[in-house]
Amino acid sequence: MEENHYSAEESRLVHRMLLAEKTAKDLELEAARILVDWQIRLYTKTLWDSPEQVVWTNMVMPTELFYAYGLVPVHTEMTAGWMSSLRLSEEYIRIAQERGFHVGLCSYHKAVIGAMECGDIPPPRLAVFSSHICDGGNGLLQYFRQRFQTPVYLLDVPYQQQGESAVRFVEGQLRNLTKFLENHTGKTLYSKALANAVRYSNHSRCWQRAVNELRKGPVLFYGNQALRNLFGLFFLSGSSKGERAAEAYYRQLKERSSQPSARPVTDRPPRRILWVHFAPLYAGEVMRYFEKALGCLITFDIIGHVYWPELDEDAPLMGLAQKVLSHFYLTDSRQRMDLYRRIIEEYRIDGVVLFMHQGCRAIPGASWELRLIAEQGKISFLELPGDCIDPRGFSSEQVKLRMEAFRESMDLHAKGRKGESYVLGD
Amino acid sequence: MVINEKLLYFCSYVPVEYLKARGFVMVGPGDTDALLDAGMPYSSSRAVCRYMQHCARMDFSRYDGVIFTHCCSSAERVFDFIQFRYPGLFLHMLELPGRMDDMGRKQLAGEYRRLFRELERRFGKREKMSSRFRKTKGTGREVWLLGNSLHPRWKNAVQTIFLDEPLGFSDCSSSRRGDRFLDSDDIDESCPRMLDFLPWFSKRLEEKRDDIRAVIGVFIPKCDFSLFTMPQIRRICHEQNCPVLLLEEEFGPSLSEQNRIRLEAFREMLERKRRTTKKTNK
Amino acid sequence: MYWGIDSGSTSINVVLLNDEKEVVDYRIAESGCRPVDTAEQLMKDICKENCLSMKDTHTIISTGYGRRNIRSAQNSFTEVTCHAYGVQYLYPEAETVIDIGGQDCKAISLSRDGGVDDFIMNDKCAAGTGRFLEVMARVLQMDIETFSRCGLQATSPYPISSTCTVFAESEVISGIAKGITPENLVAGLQQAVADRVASMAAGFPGNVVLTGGVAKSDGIRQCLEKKFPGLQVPFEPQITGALGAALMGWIADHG
Repeated sequence: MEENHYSAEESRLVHRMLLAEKTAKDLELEAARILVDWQIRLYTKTLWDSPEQVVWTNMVMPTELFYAYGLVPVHTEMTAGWMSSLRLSEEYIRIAQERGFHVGLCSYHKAVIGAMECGDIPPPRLAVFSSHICDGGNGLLQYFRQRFQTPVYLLDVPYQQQGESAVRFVEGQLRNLTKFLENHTGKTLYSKALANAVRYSNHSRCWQRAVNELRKGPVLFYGNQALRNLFGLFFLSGSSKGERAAEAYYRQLKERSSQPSARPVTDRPPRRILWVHFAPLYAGEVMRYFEKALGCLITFDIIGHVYWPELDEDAPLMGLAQKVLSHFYLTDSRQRMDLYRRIIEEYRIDGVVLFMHQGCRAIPGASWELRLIAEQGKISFLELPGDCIDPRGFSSEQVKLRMEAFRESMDLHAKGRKGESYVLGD
Repeated sequence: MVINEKLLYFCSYVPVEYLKARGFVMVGPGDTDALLDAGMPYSSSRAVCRYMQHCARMDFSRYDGVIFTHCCSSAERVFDFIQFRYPGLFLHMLELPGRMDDMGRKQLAGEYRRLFRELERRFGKREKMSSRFRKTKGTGREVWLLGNSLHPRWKNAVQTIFLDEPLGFSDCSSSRRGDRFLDSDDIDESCPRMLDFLPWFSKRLEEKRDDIRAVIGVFIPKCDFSLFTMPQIRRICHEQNCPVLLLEEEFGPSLSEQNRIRLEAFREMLERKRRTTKKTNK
Repeated sequence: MYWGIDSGSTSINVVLLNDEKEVVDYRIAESGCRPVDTAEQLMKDICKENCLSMKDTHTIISTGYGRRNIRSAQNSFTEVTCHAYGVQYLYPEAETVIDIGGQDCKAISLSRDGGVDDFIMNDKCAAGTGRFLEVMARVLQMDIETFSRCGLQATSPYPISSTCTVFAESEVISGIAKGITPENLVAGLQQAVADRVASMAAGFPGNVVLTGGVAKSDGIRQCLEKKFPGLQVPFEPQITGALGAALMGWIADHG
């Protein structure tokens, strides 16, 4: 296989991100501007100028330890998300498929693989992934190691086990991870740095919970922004920037809560929506149609749910282990359904949308739970099949049709048509 | 003491022979054709890997217990569904380490102890009743067939295509990884889920290159570990000048016509290479 | 006489070789409901046309999806092997065969000493096959010959992004509604097929020969020539499978 020459000057991703920089200041929410600025710098400078600081990782891997080491985590999901928004994902996916990666593999991973294969992103020098929620973590590690001889570390997370032995097991691996990071970066973990990271993480968590409380009230912004940008707060857990962004998020929403004129406008009486999973990042126009034209305001998104307890500053590794194990897709169905019911009640949800990203097993595989909740609670539920990253095969007309039918079902329900369930899916 | 409870299992990391020796009737998906028309709702089942989709259609009411292995997210989702749908059924999720280093082996040993404990709690204490598992030996020069789970009748169908070529199988149905581990505290065979799978494959191919005529990789649709590793399998085989064929196949007794053609074409290719090598050696 | 019969999903192709390994004649016909009878009839037609007798037959070798149904065949080989031999006969320097048939497409890497080195097939999805083009021709209300040439007049090919036939059909219908000209739609569709096929064959060596019924489409050929410079297409691209089958019979006799 030919070896690539990696250069920021020749990278299409870098070029497009620099163009995107100009539009970043137009973003409505300050927290989103902070996040986007940081991400643009990450992909246009840090990745190329300071590759020794970079550690590739995935969304569910706690980042506090990386920040404590002075490392910069780069998330595969965020990377693929940018590629999709910048209309580069199709090309990268094509390259990955030409290299033999199957059509059915998740496009998040193919986009990243394709970009590395063509040299638009430098190969990873270090990769640490967690095994839970997404099997792609394990898969990508195997690919990085075989293809680029990247030193890799996998955090093995057991399923439906939150007891002491499970916490000890994960904590033991985090301890081994510190040795791994020290060996491969030459950096030392100072307990003060870790304590700071934990503190920043806890403060961030506090602000995010406060934001989530505010979102139980009137809808304060078009929720698609949370799906596009604001979930990036989780990637900054443990950093001062993350704390600052979370605080900015809260303060701006708090201001808006007392300014009705600053709230989103809709063409129809608004309906409150719970959005589950991500959304197609190349289809901003469709999401705007959903929220503004159809009045389906994304009141809460499940990826914004703060599911972990406060980290123990005196036992940070144990705290991180507890954070990992408390993910709600590691619990049994009953507990998860209780969580969703609680959210539906607290956020006064009129309808639930589950975006069934092609290639994802974990969340669409549990769609029957949401279906059951919707049927029992007599609320509207829409299963929307699609792909968050790959625009091929996306039909905006088909998606809008489903969204319109969903809106109609909520309107019917609002008129008090009893005895019918409004579950829309294939 | 009641014996002969039927336990359903899906993965070769379940120590099948050890459990049989303790009086359990062990049933794998290849041992029964009894499937329900509907089980898990379609929108959920179509998201999971096709092997677990098949397993989710089994009639769980016929069994006293089910042992899952924590292979992937698909296994988790089907486990959740069965747990919800059959609340009284004995269900166990066997954790697998991501790598078989010292920590991984220790974890796996602990997991087997946990499994036996849970079984004892539910079904009572058991004494071993029959002889230990015997590892099958390879046949020498062979075509090496690697895969996820393969139905026994599917394997027979493939064998009829390769009548003159012995097939060596390293797949999740025949590998008996759990039994081998309990027998010798080690498993000399990896699977696509394991982080060491590609290095293991590369090393095994290099060491046994004279014995391995060709490689056939068979993977279940939507198995993410296979989707990641298959392109690398192809690359490793090309680097080692080993003919390779990759197939996507549903779990089940029938060999699809599309794959039959591929297998026949591959066999024809191997026959031509053998004839050419003979001519060159003369 | 050495017969090769390719019993495919849409056509039956028959080739006759003589003892000197020369092509005597060939026939192509639609499979119909009785492909076996069609094959027998084609062989009789060739004999009659060339004043030959079936008694002089040495071997009959079959290939294609229906190869096992050809009762008179002494042996059968897959179309992968047969296309490889057929193309190597016509183009000894060829390195790769791309065959685009009615229901499948394949890329075959040729071995220097004859036969197949590696191959990839797509027979699970209509996109990238003749069936895809037939569906689209129907949507645009064109016969297949007109469709194959129409794209050459395009001024601005309309990109079709869907990889699925059904979704691509929807895109074409949307394109029609938007007023996109048939030429630009056809060019976009042909480009989509070429992209898919090229993607499948990525990594295969460069000296490419295109075979199969779809190779007769001028538009597809033009698109693939851009992907594979120096692309060659046989005088009759549909018969390479049958030719290869006949060759297998000749080789069995002559070593």
